[in-house]
Amino acid sequence: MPHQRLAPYNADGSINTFNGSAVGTYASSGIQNPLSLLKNSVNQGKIAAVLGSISLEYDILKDLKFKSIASINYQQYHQHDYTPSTALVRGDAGATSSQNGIASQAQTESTTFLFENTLSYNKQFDANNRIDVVAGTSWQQDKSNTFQASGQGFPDDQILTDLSSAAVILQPQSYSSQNSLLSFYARANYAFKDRYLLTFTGRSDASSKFPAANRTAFFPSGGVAWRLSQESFLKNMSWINDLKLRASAGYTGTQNIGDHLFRTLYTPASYAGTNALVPSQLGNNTIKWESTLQKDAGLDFAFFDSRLSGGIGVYQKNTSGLLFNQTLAPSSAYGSVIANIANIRNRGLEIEIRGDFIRGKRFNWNGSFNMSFNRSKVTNINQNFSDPNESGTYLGNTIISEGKPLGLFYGQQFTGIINTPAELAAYKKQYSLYPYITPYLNIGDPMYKMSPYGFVSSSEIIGNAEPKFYGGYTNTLTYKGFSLTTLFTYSYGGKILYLADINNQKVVDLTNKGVAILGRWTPDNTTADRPRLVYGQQGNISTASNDIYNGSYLKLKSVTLAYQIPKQLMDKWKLQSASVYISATNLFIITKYPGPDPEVSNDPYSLISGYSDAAAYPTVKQFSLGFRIGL
Amino acid sequence: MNKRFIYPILTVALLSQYACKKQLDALPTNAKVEGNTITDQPSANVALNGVYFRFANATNTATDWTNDKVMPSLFAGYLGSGNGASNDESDAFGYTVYTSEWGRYYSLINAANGVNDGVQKLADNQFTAGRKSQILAEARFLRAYGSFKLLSYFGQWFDITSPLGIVIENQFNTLTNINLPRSTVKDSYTFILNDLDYAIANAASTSKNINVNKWTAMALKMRVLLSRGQGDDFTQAIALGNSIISGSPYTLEPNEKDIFYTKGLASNEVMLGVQPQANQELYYLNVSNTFIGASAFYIAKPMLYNLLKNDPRLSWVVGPAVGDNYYFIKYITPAKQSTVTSETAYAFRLSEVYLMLAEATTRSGGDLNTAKTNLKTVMSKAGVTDFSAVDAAVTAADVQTQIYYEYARNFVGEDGIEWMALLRLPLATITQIRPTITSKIQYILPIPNNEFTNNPNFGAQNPGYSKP
Repeated sequence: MPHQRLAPYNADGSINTFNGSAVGTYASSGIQNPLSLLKNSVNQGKIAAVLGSISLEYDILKDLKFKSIASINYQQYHQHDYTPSTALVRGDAGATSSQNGIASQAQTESTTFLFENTLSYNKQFDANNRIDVVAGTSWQQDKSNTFQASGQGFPDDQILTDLSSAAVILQPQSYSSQNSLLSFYARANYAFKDRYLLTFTGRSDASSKFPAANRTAFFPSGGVAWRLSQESFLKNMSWINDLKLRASAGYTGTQNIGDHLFRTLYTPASYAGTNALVPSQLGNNTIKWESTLQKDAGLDFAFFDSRLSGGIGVYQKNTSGLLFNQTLAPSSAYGSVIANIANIRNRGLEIEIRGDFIRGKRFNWNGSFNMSFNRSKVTNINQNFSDPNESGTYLGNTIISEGKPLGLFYGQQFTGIINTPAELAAYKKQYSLYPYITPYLNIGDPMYKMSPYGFVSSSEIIGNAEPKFYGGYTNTLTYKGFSLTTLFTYSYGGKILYLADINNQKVVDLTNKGVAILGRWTPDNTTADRPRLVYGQQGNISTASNDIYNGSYLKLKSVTLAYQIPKQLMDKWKLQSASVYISATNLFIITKYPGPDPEVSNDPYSLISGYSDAAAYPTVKQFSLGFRIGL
Repeated sequence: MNKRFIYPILTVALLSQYACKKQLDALPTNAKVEGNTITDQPSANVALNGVYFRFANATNTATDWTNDKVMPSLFAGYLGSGNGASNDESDAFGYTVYTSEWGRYYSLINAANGVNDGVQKLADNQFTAGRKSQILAEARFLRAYGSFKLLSYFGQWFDITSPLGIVIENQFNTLTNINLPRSTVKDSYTFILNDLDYAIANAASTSKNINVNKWTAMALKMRVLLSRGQGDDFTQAIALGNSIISGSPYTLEPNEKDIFYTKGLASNEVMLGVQPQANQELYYLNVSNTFIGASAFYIAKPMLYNLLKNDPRLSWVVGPAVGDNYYFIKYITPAKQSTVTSETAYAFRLSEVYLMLAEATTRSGGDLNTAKTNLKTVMSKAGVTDFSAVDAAVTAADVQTQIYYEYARNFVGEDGIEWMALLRLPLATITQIRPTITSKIQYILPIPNNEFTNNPNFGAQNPGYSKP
């Protein structure tokens, strides 16, 4: 298939609208010409904020203090957009004309209010005993309201793009949200001779995101530390500078979900000119706080005049009632429901070693190396939503399965390309249902592992995203006023699902594809490991093991060269501090991963998904030059 | 300790507790929650209109009956994609995009169940006389309509002994009543017919034709009985057909073309239709524009041209050639702008009742001449004067085939009427008319994969299709 180049301008000098017919595809697959946005679009945000806080402190007794803080963060945000007539816009069914331009103005008002009252007690009883206690309550409320008006059809793209010039008024939009959190908490620290340290905290949180019965949860935690180096039997070992053993255990809660998700909702609509209410959200009135019990133990050390220091830590995190949007079967009439879907255990080992290799008057060299090992395991799955035969919950391209680690990819097992008539005949024999599924099955098509029922099995575990280990190394060299800091990061053993690669195996229109498509099977390229292409037919192309790639990498994450202006000069210039630096990020990466960057995630905030490369923007290479001056 | 400060602090703390409780319980302001949605007759009417909203497959911008108009006609061979033929056009459904219809009708059913459950909880005296049971009747009709669509496209409706029916949803969904197994075909039919019997007994006897009344309920029951075809189903269908024709306020449109070109919902033949949203005709991605290639592009295939070759309808159903195919101009011509009429969709027209009556008469072993008379009545409204093919049909099987051809000529691109009529013929006849169909596997679509992955209790896939 020939390459296609699109001219940015038409012959008459106007901007080429890359609509479907210009690109040789469905109108719905047209492309927005970036030039049209560059020329006449408006995307302007204005923000006005008021941050205020008042506090009252009162010393009830010498060691007992009362403090009250009320703070407010009020924001007004105004967004003005104009999409010019020459740009295609995204409609309900793909690309569509902007019909002489679309303008919109939106106003958002958001308020965060915090009211906090604490009593604190601090007492040094004698040289060896110290205690401090804080008890308090806090009330936090977030509110926001948005209103948006838009219009379509403008006389020109330059001047009359104000809403009042629109020919068609589009449906106004408004949204509002509110959530609140009420907390009571206490924290106590006790130190004996600075050698034995005890900490206890407890907090009770009530969140509006949960139904009344499960609204409040209590999260206690406690820790002990023992500074061995302060003990008399180690004090005379001069090569030990610091040695500390620590252990802690505690619960934390997570409520990182939307508002009102526990309620079944009806959303307003209209039909035949009258109001309607339509069921739009299935509530789950059993959701509760996601809580994690974390247990830590570790040893921190510094030896040989602190030339060698570091720490070793082990942890176990048991997360119960993981909050996640569970996809629902279409027969439930809703897309998804929030649920506490699983319990997960993470165990890990973290090692950090820092060394001062050279300590000189002019030249210094130190480095810090760290390495982490984490192993996850799903300890329980909410049976309401999982298949008892498979004991797993399917999340798009991954599955969480009881007794297995997180990050298991789920799909078809690729077994090769059909290359001979004999292979074709044998595959067709296994694949008895192909006439109803992929009627043009032929040489050059991919083969997949079959289910026993005469079709491709799509329920194979085809990879594990979890890396075996990961970490980084920071190296610092200083010479006189110069310093060079370099950070490398690495990850080994994880797999990535390269979603764009699936699209590179099928052609249903003439839009751009990755170069990998050139390596497809053709009668002249029969050794290819990528299937042939049949225009408009996608056969069995779907998430499969040949779209999963090794995500191991070593990356130069950042390098910074800085120069500190000498003290004499600063004194002369009457400056507190002054430095010049040049830095670069993401300079190079060593990896076999074919996508732009193996350090990607389609859902970085999720505990249980985010292992797919959905053609995400790669991390940028960034160069910066800066001056830092302190007056 | 200074008591002057302790008491005010305690008072503030206690008061704020009360205020906090109220804020923690605050209801959303953009939506209603279950429990405050249906509280009286006006709010029940608003919720019922939400069920019609789902029936119309609407957004606030447009109603969308593209799939109703196109999908079954694609399967039957009369329509196709103008952007390159799809597997659906050759009846290979393994990777069909139309499994989305499965979820669509469950959304309709759930909305209907919301009204059904909510209205039943209210006292009779909260409604004006009879309105409570009318609302329930409309909700149950719409539930039956959705359930029958599901059974027709995804269940083995043609085999009363089959275990592969639909998931029967008779309650508003909550967390504890979803993920049900599929029921048998027999139970699916019983569920649908129970709803329709309720609707026939309780629905209003007249209504706007965008709402349901007892006559539309009777017409839907005829469709269901013709599909089931057991025991006295045909006799019942005959009785229903006769009472609609003699008792209902509807009359055949003297010239069929006028329905689609000028009258729309104003035609007295239309028993139930879908009204476009305000300004939908100006909306770029509306249904009409898909017939002139504005975004998706659906065309008439040579099979439709051949079907209408000697029929007056050729001139206003099949338009200019596009490659090997033709524009489908039943709703809109290439030169025409979309209009409210071109955006209208039709679920039930009186002509279908005549044809269903003729089919029931023929299949029950009744008088073929009576059947032929009803068939010719419908054909004559389309301006047909040459009845030689109908006259030449002497066996019941031949007459049923002739009735099928009229279903196709009359109802192509409406609501799957010709597709279901085709499948009610014997398989050998179907293969003759539509050679790509060689097996009953191709009568229905696969259940979508996400039903299996998320509903562990669902049960078996339809034969011939893969299950994840």
